[in-house]
Amino acid sequence: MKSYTEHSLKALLPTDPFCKVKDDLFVACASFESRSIATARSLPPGYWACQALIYVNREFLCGEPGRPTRGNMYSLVDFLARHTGSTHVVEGSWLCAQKQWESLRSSFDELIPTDAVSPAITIDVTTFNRESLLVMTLLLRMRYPSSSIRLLYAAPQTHGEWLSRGFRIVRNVIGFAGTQYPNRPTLLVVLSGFESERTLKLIEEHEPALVLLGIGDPPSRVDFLNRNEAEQKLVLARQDVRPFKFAATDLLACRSSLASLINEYGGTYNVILAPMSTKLSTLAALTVAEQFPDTQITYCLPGEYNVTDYSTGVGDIFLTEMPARIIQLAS
Amino acid sequence: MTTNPILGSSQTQPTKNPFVVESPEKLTPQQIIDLFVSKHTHVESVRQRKHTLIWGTRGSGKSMMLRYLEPRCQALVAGDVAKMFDSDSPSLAIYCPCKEGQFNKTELQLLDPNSAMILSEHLLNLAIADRVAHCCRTQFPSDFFRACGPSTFARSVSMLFDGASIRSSLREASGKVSLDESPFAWLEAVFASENIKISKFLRLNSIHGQQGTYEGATSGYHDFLLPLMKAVQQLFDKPEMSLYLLIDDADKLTRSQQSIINTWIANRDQQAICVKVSAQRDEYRTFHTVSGSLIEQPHDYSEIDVDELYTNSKSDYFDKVMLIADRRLKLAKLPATSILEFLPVDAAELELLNKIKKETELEWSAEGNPGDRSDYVDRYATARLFQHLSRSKRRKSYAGFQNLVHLSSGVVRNFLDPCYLMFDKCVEKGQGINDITFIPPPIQNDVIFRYSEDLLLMKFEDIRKDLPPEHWGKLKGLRTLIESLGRLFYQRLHDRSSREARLFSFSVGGNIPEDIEEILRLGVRYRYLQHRTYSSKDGGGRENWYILSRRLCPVFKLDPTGFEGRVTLKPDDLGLACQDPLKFLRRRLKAAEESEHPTLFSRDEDES
Repeated sequence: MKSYTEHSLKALLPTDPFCKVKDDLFVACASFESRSIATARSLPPGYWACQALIYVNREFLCGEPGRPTRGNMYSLVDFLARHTGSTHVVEGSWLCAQKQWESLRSSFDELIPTDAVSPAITIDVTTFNRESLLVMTLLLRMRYPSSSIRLLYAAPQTHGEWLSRGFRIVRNVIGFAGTQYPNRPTLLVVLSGFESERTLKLIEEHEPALVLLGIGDPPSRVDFLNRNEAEQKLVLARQDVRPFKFAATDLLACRSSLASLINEYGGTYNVILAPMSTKLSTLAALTVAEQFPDTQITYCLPGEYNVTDYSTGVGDIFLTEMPARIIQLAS
Repeated sequence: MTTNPILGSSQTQPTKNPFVVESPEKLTPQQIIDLFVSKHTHVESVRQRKHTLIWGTRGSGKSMMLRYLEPRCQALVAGDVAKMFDSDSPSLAIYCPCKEGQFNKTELQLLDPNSAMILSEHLLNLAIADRVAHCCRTQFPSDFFRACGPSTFARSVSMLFDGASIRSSLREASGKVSLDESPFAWLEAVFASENIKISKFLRLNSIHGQQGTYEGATSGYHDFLLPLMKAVQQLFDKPEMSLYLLIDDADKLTRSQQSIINTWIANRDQQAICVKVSAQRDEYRTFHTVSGSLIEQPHDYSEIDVDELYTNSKSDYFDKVMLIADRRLKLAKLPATSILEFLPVDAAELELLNKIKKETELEWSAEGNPGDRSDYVDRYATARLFQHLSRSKRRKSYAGFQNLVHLSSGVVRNFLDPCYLMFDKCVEKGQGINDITFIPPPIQNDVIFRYSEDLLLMKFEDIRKDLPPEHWGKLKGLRTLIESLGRLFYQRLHDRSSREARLFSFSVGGNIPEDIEEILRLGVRYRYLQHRTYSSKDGGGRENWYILSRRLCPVFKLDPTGFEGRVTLKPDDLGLACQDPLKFLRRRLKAAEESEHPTLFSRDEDES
């Protein structure tokens, strides 16, 4: 994984490997967070993609988040127009899983030819909500199995006091229903972040026989580990909750931790994965669910986001690649 | 080589607290039998050969009751597996819990409704069939069945599916398990393989849209579930046996999946399949069948509400809680064996009440002997006690088993939880577990006040998290309504001239506007209110009756001990109560002053 500042990313020469790959598609998400435009704003002059897709949740285009989201969407269109042949905006839905899935699927149908052999794609994962990130990445990887996908992530300087509040629904992420064997108990594996209430809600809804609570260690920042541990104290105090560590910003290491857990427990439990930490660990969960298709990925839709103070500033921008799929031959 | 990243096991120690509440899934059959009290739990009604819908809030004991009916428990109760069937109408109960994400898969929304319905029914059938096979394999000794019975059963069940569709699953199962050596395990492997086919189809469909091809079998009621049950009857060599499908947590099913269950119920095949559905009432979203007809009571099903309304010492609920609590004390081998002694009342307050009762008898004489003396004392002495304590600025004690039963508002969990905390507090104060012979009233009071306060303050915060922001206005309305009612009932109880002082329920005269109705529904859903109906006095049908959770009595200083009538509120009053407690109170007090005879007394027996 490489890390850049906004300035150093912008300063990359056309000969840098990042620019040398001409992408078929660049995907970003417009949200109410100011950092949703940081990556597009910092793309080096030598970077080029045939097409750009800007995903936006329609619920964020009105009400309190409407103004910043629209502003960021227009900025993204503007920035990406300088690096792509054409830019498209697609409205998905944060509330309706079906609409979210349909919008992404039809966009890819339109933008990437079905006979594309190994499209090159770069995704700015910064402000995708986890559910849409999982659905989108799954669609791309399964429809274009030989695609090469690069990930860009702009970390914030700080997070707000709270990120989300309340709950609406718990549902499995489309494409990750897994297989539940009726006579097996449930194991809930949580990659925890700063939202302990949502973790508790998942425990309440799934009523697992056992919970493995992941703490991001090493974290993306040292102070994030302290906050992660403090937030999850209440969860850890419960019966039948066991802690484990995962690498919050190392996709491969995180995948390895999760895979070893599923290898150990998957034969006796119905495994439910709940990625609630970094975007990279969320994608690590995706790769593990690909490898172990019986695994379900669950998602707790929050009541509301902290629109005014979700995050501030832009820290480092990380660049990494999605690892190849590991196919389990027999389940 | 990968390493196991588990850091260590949880810190919890085995507890000896007799009031601990464990999930029934984690209990052994013996523990279930030890803890389960069958008297007054409706278990006999559930045992009847009728389709039954069992309503109850979380913690009301639905799952415990269903698990108690499983063969592994019933065999222990009967003393022998075979004896379990010694009955005029033998039954075999199969526990089928509905887990989050197991049936209500998001991918089903991507299919056309008809395909989603077909696949859902197959998914449900597979889960039930899997449970049947697993139950036969694990809950009966291997020599229980006739020599070739299980393999014949396995073969005949596998032939219920379309031969071409099931072929690959049969092959796969046979590659893992021998049909002749382990017929039930072989069947489970067949079902697992079919289950995987559904998952695979859902995944592919979500990636490629409607182009995916489903390669598995399908199954319905008449072509699979009913013949499966007949095959079970043959396996057990009991053609008169009915299979009880205990579908627990059916609120975790989608609306269309619930309509599939309703369709099974509508078939009225109780002699072969008897469906017992447990759910939270407000989460069971439809009574329609797949074809759109309604299932109705009592023709199609009977209904049981596990949550109780009446809590007085003559009620079944009182008796049930006493039996449960005594059983727990006994199992914990504590020195105390009677819950009545374990949770004593406040002696000083009891003495004061007795003194007030004597004064009330004198008051009865002074008033010119209105009605029966003991009725008069019953009705007014407790109110006078509250009034006296208020004047002398003393806190009312809610200690004592009887009070705690009332405050549990008909939910056993609401009794066990505070008892657990009281016991814990005694241990925290340094008492050895085996030295705890009773819970001192001050400890009971401290816990029960906090428990009551939690419902008024903390629980609202929890519910807020549970609701999307657009519903927060309704929640605020409910919070205000509870406050308004609490204040109104307090005023009535502490008003010496009040004829019916001990009130904690209300009815509504007239049509309730939709927004207020939603607030009331929210109150019922989160157990701030219990909802019942009663016969209207003019004989014109039934009216809505709402009872405030008696768990709130300590925080509002109310008397939880009896049902002495109800306040009738107009829809306008109710609207005001949801907005402004003080204005509501002023309006109600003014109305009470103007009315010489407020709401008439209505007898408990009239309610239902």
